[in-house]
Amino acid sequence: SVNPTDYLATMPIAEASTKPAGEQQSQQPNPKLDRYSWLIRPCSIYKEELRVCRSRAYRRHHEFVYGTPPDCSQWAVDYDNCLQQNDDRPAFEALVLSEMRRRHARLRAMTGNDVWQYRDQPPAEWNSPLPSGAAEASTVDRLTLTGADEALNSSFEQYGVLGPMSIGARMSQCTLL
Amino acid sequence: MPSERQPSSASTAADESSASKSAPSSEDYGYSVFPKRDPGADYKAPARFIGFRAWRHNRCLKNVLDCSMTDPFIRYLIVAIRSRGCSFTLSRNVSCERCRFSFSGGYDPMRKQVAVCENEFWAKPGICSVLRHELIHAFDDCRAVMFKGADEEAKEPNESLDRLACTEIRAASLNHCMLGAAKMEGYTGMFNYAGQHQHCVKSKALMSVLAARQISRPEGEAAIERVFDRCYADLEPFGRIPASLKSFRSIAIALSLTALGTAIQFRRLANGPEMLLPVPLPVPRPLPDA
Repeated sequence: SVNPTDYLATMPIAEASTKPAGEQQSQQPNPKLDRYSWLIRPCSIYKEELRVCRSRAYRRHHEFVYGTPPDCSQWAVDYDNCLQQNDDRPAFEALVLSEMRRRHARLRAMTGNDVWQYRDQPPAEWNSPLPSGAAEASTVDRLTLTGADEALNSSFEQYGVLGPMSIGARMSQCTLL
Repeated sequence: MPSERQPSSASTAADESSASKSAPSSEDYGYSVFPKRDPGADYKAPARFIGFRAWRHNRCLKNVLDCSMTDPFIRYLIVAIRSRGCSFTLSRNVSCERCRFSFSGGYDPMRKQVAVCENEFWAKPGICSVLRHELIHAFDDCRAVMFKGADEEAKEPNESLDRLACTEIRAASLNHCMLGAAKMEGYTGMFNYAGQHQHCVKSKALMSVLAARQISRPEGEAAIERVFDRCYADLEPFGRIPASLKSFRSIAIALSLTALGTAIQFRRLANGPEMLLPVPLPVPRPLPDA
């Protein structure tokens, strides 16, 4: 089976601070957090997350799933810290710790699922050729003839994950910092 | 196998291949639904007009391609499967085929293929929804051990049932039980929808599990209850339960609002959460020996 710490690319929260666990805010800058600055995302992302979190549709969805209204304060704090990360060292550290907490929660949910055993390698029979049967061989498949695979791969290279979108859809994705 | 108008998707797990005859069991893991994969049994519905099946097959293929080019959920899942190390291509891993009963699709872990049924749906919203559901099964098969072989499945039936229930819970919670869709299909009301997502997820997962395995309903409910907490929290690869901002576009498996559709959703609400299906499922006929 897979060692969960291989997935957790971050240190536990208690090790990240030089003070005891009760005191999260350290007076001196913590040098251990510099190597995790890649966790911080562009500030427009936090602004967009805050906007979506405060929207009425997301509020209804969150109530539908969890029964309580969403708490958007963490995104607001993260956006504020993101804007001040270059000037304010505690803001940078708080943002890095917040991102580590989010990543830790998500990976803990995944590794806590012990219903199945996670694989180290993809299954060996994934690329095995299909058994040659009369059903598969007789039908001429238009999906293969028209080059669907090349179209899909080139669409990923050209457009990315979201795919080809109209000009209005692309403009609605744009967020100004 | 449900013969009602609202189809569910069957997740297949094992194959009774004629080469390996282990201890005889009546469990066929849902392979009887897909006659192309079980060549011993064949079933043909009457054609609508000459050339209809060819047109339907081509339309299914075209919509598979359209969905994988356009739908962001499908593209995200394909990228997630590929980044796990499993190559995913439409020609090898997706197949449009005719199925026996009113199913919408399934995942074949023996051949690592998503089987899209072209019986019930061939329009784009249905195909997109089926692809999203089965891609979750493919993603789980790529990252974890889902199927261990027919002999080991017979030795530990509860573990294999738990893995199936886990996959179905994740597929229901990440793809299907959005607020608008749940309202349309009668899993929640218009105003009292707080916390009803779990009810919708359990209902849909139970329907899928009962369709894939020949077990009784209390066994299916027990399996879902065993694994619900762990699997409901596992939100990979999205990291969150997706919300539908355009509720009507997310209703991919919703029925059109005919009289039967309206009656189903109101009857679900009137009978309470215990009544999941309006009619009991018919017992499937046994297949002739190959």
